[in-house]
Amino acid sequence: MNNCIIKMKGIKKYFYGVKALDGVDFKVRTGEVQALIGENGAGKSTLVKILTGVYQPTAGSIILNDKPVQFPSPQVSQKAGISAIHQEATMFPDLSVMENIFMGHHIRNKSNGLLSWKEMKNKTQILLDKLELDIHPDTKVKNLSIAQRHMVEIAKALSLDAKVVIMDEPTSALTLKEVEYLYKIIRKLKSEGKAIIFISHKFEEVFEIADYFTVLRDGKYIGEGKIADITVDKIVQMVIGRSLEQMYPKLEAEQGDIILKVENFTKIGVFKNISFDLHKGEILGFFGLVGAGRSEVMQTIFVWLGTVGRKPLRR
Amino acid sequence: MKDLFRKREFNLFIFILFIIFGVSWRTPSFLYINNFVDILNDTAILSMVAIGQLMIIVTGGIDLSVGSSLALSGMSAALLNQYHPGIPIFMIILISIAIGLLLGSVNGLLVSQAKIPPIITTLGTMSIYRGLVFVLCGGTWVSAHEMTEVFRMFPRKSFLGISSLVYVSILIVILFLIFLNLTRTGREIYGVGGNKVASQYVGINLKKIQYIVFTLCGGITGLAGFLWVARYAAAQSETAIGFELQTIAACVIGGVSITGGSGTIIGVVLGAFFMGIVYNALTMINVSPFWQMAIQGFIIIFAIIINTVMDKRNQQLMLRKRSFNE
Repeated sequence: MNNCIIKMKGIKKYFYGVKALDGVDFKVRTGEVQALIGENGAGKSTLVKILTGVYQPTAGSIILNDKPVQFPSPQVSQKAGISAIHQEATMFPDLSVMENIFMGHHIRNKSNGLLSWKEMKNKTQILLDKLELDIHPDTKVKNLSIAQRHMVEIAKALSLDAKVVIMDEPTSALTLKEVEYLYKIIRKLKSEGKAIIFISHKFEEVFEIADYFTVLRDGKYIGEGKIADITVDKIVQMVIGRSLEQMYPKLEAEQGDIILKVENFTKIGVFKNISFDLHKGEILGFFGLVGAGRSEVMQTIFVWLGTVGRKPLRR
Repeated sequence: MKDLFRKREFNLFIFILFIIFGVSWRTPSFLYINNFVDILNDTAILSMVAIGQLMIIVTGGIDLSVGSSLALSGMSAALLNQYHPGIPIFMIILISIAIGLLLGSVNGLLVSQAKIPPIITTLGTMSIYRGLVFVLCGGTWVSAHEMTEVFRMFPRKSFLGISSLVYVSILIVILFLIFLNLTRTGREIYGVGGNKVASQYVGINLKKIQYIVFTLCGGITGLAGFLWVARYAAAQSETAIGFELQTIAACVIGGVSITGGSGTIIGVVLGAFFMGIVYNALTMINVSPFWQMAIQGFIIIFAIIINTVMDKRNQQLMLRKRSFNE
C-alpha cells in the first residue's frame, strides 16, 4: 500500500559553478515519514527547494506517480500536492491566522467572485480543531508562539490538500512538549496516507518518528534504508564520513575565580530568574531552543535595559 | 469590545473627538453643521489620494509623485476644457483618469520591471511630471472665466446638502474597501507588504502587485486632479505642490505601517479627516497663519506618538499574558 509517490533521480544543482547537489536520488512513499539527514550545507534545503519549485535543477528528473514532471514555480508544485513548512519564516505577521492559511488561494463566492470570509473562517476552524489547536482564526500571527506558528503552517499545508508535506527542521524552535505534540500530528497525517519528508540533523528525532532515511553529505547522495535496520553509530558515520571519537577530542581546562555573577535576572515577558556564575578561563555554554531567551539574556546584560531584579556583581 | 479599544483606528477616533470638544469649547461655531460640511469638502480629495498612497505604502513602497501627477492631469483637464469647451464633462473626467493611470503605470513599470526603488523612481517622476505641467501651460494659468460653467460647478453640485465632491470620495472609499478586503488581488497587496519571500512561496506575483498599486494610485490621482482644478476653479503650475506629503501624513496618522504590511482604509480616511479638523480648528481659534503650519506638524507627531505608545502597550500586554500562561 505504501506506493512511491515521488522519485527524484540524479538531481544536480549548480550555483554559478558551485555544486550544491551532485547526483542525488530521493524517494518518498505515501503513509511514511521519510527522513532527510545531513549536516548543515549538505544540500537538504536545496533539494527541498527543487521539490517545491523554488529552484530549478541543473540536471536530473522528478517523477510524480510514475509520470515525469517539472515544477517551474511554487504554485505548480503546490497544485501537484506538495506543501512545505519552511525553515525560514514564511508567514505574514500582521495578518490573521485565517488569512495566513488562505493567502494565495483565498476562497471566493461562486455567485459574485468576491472573497467569502465566512467560509474561510469555517474552514480555518475545522483545520484548527483537527490539529486540536486552541487559537482563534482572527488572531494575528505576530501574537502567536513559534510552536503555534508551526502548527498554523501545517494547517495551511492541509488546507491545500497536500499529499506530500515537507517539514524543514520543524523542531528546532519547539519545547519538548511541543515536539511531542508535533509527533502526534505527524503520526495522524501518516495514518491518513500522507507522505512526510522530515528534515533534521537530530538523530533522536529521526529514530523516534521516521520510517525511512536518506543521507546527504556535501551535496552527494550517501545512502538510504529503513530506520529499523540501522544503528545510530552507522548513520552518524554516514553523515559525517568518519567515526564520532575523532570529532570532539577532550581537553582539560582550569577553572579560575568568578568574574561575573548573575542572580535572578528577569525581563518581564522575555526571561525570568536567570542565575549563573562565570569563571575565569572557562567556556560557559548556554543551551536552549530558538526563542528560549539565550540571546536576550546576553543582550540585556550588555545593555541593562528595563530589567527588574538584582544587579550583577562585577569584580 | 476589548478588541475595539486595541484598534489604532479607535484611538484616533477618540483623539478626533477630543479635539472637536476642545475646540468647540472655545469656539462654539466650530460645531455648526456647515463647518463640518466644509471640513468634509476640504478632506475629500486628500482621503481619495491617501487611499492610493495607502496601497503603495502597504506593499512597502511610497509615491512622492502624486502631487505632480495630480497637477498634470488637472492641468490637462483644464486646458482641454478651455480650448474645446464642447467636450462633455464625463469625457474630460475619463481623460483625466486615463492620464493619471498612465502616469501611475510609468511609476509602476519603473518599480516592478526596472527594479528602481519606489522612493527614487517617484522622486524622479515627481520632477518630470511637474516639469511637464510647466511645458503644457507655458507657465500661465487657466482661471475661472476660461472654464465652462459645467466644469467649474461639477464638484459643487449638491444633493441633500452634500456636494458631489464628497459623494465621489465616498464612492472611491467604498470601491477600494471592496477591492482591498474582498478580492484576492487586494489581499495579495497585504501579503506582499507583510513578507515578500512568503508571498512568493504562495505564488503571488510581486511585479504584478507593484504595477497594480502604482497604476491604481495614479488613476485615483487623475480623478482627483480634475476635481481639484474644478473645485478651486484654477489650474496653475504650482497646483498641489507638497500634496504628496499630506497624503503620506494621512496614512501615517491613520496607523499605516511605513514599512508595509498593515494599514486600513478606515484609518486613512480618519487620518485625512483628522488633518482637516486640525487645519480648520486652528483657523477657527484664530491661530496666526505663521504658526499654523508648525502647530499642525506638532499635532501630527503627537498623534503618531500616542498611536505607537498604545501599540507598544498592547504588544507588552500580549507578551505579559503569554508569559503568565506558561
